[in-house]
Formats: sequence, structure tokens, C-alpha cells
Amino acid sequence: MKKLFFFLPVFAIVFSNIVYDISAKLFPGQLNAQAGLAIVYAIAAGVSLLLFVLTSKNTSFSKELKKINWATFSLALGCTGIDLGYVLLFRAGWDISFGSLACNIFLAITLILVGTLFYKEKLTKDHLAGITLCLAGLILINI
Amino acid sequence: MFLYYLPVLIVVAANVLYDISSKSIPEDLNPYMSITITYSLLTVLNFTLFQILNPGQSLQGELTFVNFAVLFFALASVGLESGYIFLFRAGWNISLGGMVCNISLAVCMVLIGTLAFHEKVSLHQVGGMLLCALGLIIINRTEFQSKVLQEDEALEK
Repeated sequence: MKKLFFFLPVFAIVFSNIVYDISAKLFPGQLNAQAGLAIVYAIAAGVSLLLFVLTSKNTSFSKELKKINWATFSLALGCTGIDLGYVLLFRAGWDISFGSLACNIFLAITLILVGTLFYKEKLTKDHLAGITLCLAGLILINI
Repeated sequence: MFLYYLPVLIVVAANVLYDISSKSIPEDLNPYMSITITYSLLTVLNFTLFQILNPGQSLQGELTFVNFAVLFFALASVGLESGYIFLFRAGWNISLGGMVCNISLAVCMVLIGTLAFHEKVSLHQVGGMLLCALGLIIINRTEFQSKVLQEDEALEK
């Protein structure tokens, strides 16, 4: 059961990412990008609110609202930066495969540095071997 | 040159900010409450941008173009954002959690491209998938042993 709870978020993220990528591919071409995103986020806000009501036990909206910190707002900044960055990436002339490959490799290395320097996370030899294999595999998939 | 590499820096910086933010959402806060506020902000931001960039154009007119993909895009966004919050709450490191998800996604997308969209897969892509799978097995086994099993041992003591 513990194994399930440890790996469930990974499955949820990968599944959601697949649906996200396919939906982005089928996103109506005539729909204005900003209007489309405004509609998407309005629906997402409604769904999240519904999920909050379904999953919160006797917790009022205002009580939960008081617990919010800077991370909720910086998450919005992160989402916008990712969307904007990818649009600029492809407009700057990067290929779809090589552009995202470069970002993924640079991101993996940056997160390892952030994790070890600021969160004092320890990486073992096994971790480093696994990371090297994954990055080599990612290069082979994208060339 | 700078303008060519600037988007990569923006994508990486935004992703780092995204991961740090997901990890920093207070443990006792319902994640769906947090992302309700995040999406509300993003709705207002994109609506404002739409108004500035397209003066005189109405959102009602745009609604006629909405199809099922827009709904699935929204549902997937909720899954993604809440998924990352739950990922870090389950004990994943910031240095490994996102990478494991991104690599797994890359492998799945090659499989889906081949099976659902009949895209051709080359021999080096198959080799790449096998290397990724091996790397993921090593990382996941190590992570699970160091996080969950050690916690269990500590509780037993």
C-alpha cells in the first residue's frame, strides 16, 4: 500500500501530461490563445473548487484561505513562465524535439544542483548511475 | 545568440520555480484550495492579456470555437498541478521527482506516438527507451528503499 502512495503521484503526473499534450495538439486552431487559456483556467478553477469541497472534511473555505503562502502565487508565475518560455523557444527557431531535449537536460542538472545545495538532498552512486542512463536514453530518443 | 538561448533559460527557471512552489505549499493546506487560487489568478491574467492584445473582441465570440480538447486540457492541468503537490508530499526529492516524471513521459509519448498516431520509431529510439527504463528502475528502487522502507524501520524501532 505504501508503494502505491509513493508511486501514485508519478502515474497521475505522467497520465495527466499525456492527456495535456494530446489536448494541446487538438486545441482548436481558431480559438485565440489567451482567450483559450482563460477558459481553460476558469474550468480548472471550477474543477479544483469542486475537488476541494469533496475532499475537505468540515473545513471552511475562509479557514483554508488563511493557510495560503507565497507558493500558491509563485506556482501561477511558474505556469505562465513555462507557457511563455515554450512559445518563445519555438519562435526562436528551436526544433520541437531538440528544444525540449535541451530544456529537459538543463532542467534535470539545475534541479540536482538546487536539491543538493538548497535542500541538502543527498544523491547516491545509484542515483547518479540512474540519472546518467536516463539522460543518455533521452538523447537517443530525441536525436 | 542571447535571444536564442533566453527561452531555454525561461523554461528552466519557470520549471524550477514551479517545482519549488509545489514543494512549498503548506502541508496542512488542501492542495485543491491552493490550485483553485492559482487558476483563478491565471484566468484573470489571461483574460486581461486577451483584452489588451485584442481590443474590442468579445470572449463570447471565442466560446463558439471551444471543443472537447479545451475541457480535457483543463482536467489534465488539475491532474498535473495537484499531482506535483502530492509527489513532494509523498517524499520525493526536488532533484529526482520531476526528472523521473519527465523521463517516464518521454518514453510514454514515443509509445503513444507509435501506437495511436502511427509515428515511426527508430532503432536508436528503442535503445533510448530501454536505457531510460533501466535508469528509472535504478532511481525508483533506490528512492523507495531510502524513503519508505527506512521510515518503516524507524517506526518499528
